[in-house]
Amino acid sequence: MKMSTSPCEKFYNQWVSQKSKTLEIRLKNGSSMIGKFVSHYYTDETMDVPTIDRWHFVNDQCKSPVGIDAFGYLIGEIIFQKNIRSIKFLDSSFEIKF
Amino acid sequence: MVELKESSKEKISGSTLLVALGIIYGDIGTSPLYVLKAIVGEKPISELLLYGSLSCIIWTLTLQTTIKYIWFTLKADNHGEGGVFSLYALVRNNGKWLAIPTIIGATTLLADGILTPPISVASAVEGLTILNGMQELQTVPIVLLLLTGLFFFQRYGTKKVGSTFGPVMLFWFLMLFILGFNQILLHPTILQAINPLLAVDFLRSYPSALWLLGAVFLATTGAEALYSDLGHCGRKNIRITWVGVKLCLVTNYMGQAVWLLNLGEGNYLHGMNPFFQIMPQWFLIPGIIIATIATIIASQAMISGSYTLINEAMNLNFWPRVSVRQPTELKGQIYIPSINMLLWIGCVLMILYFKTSSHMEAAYGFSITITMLMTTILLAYYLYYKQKMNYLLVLFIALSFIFIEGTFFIANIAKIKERWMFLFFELFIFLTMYIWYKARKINNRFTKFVDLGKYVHKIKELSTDEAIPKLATHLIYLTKANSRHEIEEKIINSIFSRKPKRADVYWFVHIHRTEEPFTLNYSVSELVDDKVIKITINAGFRIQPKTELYFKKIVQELVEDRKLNLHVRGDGSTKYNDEPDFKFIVIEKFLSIENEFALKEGILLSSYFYLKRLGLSDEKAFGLEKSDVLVEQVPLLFQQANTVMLVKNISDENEHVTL
Repeated sequence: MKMSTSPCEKFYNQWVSQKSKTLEIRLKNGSSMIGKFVSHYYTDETMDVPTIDRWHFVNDQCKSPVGIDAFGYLIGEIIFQKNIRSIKFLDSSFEIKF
Repeated sequence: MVELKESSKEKISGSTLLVALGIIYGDIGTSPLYVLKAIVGEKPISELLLYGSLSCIIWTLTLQTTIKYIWFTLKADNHGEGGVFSLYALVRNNGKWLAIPTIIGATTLLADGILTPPISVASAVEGLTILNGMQELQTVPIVLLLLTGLFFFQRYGTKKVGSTFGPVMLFWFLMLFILGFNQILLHPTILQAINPLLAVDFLRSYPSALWLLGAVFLATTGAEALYSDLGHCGRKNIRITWVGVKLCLVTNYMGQAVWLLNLGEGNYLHGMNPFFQIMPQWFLIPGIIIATIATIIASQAMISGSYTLINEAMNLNFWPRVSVRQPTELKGQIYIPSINMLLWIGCVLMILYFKTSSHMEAAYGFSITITMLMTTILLAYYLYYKQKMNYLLVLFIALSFIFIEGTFFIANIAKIKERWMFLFFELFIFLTMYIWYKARKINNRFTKFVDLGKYVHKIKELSTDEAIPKLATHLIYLTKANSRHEIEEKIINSIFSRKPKRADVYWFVHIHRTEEPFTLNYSVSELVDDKVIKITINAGFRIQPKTELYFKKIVQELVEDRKLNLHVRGDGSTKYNDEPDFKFIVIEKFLSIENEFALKEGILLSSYFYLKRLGLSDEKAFGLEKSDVLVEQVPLLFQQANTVMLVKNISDENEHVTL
């Protein structure tokens, strides 16, 4: 599958290759948070060039492998890609601005 | 990448040309049975009417069939396959909205297809009423019987009788030619009808000529079938045979026009069919028999075409999964019981409602103009994006055909009042395709993916954890994730949550539907040697997904190539059997009551899950019914209600806790 050539793709590739996934996210509304992405959604994964439009974000203490509790409820929050201003990997200091 | 199957090249020989005659020309080839009868109807015979309408027929066959379909549309072959879905598969990445003309085109093609068998067979059987003493014959039961028999025998395939279709249709076209030619000899000036100015003059001068185009259009209704059946015959075979077929058709239409001219100016047809009237008396019975067989062949082509259409629709996610059978080993021959039943009921209702071919003529052809318009839109995209044609030229071609087809559409509008009941059928087909397509898109948009690499070590750890009881030696999940290092979150959840699923080898199988119709190959990625393996099977949209069979073959090949070591680790076989222990996990989604939808999404998703219940279960749809399958139900949560006013009552102290 090809991803669209965009900062999102650059980030995604870095995210996949990075061992430690702890991130600092700054949103366009000025807020920031520290944690990790556990999963993501595509706009339409059947298209040739799908793009990620949402991320599932949890804080670092979350033990659930996929950010879901025993009753199937979501832990953490869903963040829209379009609302992200920048993401920084805390271990490598790699930062990407959108 | 390993190929599972090879594609075949197009061949041209006497036998392939015969096959083309037998498969694709049934519909267009049997049109002479009713076209001129429909045009003349109860109008007085006149030279203007006959020369003009004949010229319209000839130029419709030239512009619409020869130039649009034989010349332009056949270029748009998708690795040898044609039809509205093949065309869509070629251009779908050039515009998301193209799904809508595709759905409309397929819907209308299927809708008019329901009338093709009744009108063709009824026209032929009604020929019996011109025999002495049979004027009062009730043809409805005969037509019903013939078509019911035809639909009943679909389950056995056409392998045994299919080889006779070509020779029968060859005989049919020769008959058309000879009968027409004999009449032309009586009145050679009929050849002047080739002049397109006569058509122009007719459209300008004859009263309400525009509405007569609705009947003229019946001469080309089978043109779409030429394209749909491209895969069965090949472009060159169709182009070569069309030269002869068109000659025979035009000759026969001319012969019928001569007979009508000989009736005399101002006279009426009085319900006679010029097609049978140009037959010598001694040839009537064999002529009617041949006509009936030809119309049954035409109906067979329509029925097979409908199966193919629905099969493609399923594989491109436009139609719910339904049972598809292969009655014979002939390539591409399929039988879909539910569609067979739907078509049979539709045809029976049409026969009972319209009773005679004359009434059917008044309703036939409207939908196919819409199909043709939709094909023109898709074709324009194909010519521009794939053939890289100059956009002005594409615009000219598209607008020219939109003008022609738009004119036919207007001429056919009057038929709506005769065919209002089709609108329900069309609405049903359209909504089924639209709901399935849109809801799957929504569904896909809400499918969460995770980075598989992140879980590989955990999977490895689980696999060797003796404290967890082993579920299977080989655990196989079907995944939608295209990327080798991704997987759906629900799969990871299934492996680790509640009772973790321990296995020796974890397989993640992804079936990727390709744009090419008959692709069948696979690639293997071992994320952990002999432990976590991802397989991507690339299957064309004409291929039946037999996951179990493909998987078995892939495992065999991996073991033979020593890329997979089943024996060192133990494959789960015991002293009681030699079979490795494979367990498939199918995760089925259901619509949770906790969802909160917008009205449109709510209706779409509720309808989608209702249709899903009517269709095949996932394990059957993926061809896993013979395997050891564990089905897990997971809720599909789009918008989960997250605020709840839950009050805890403590009776003694009246303490309230609000969540």
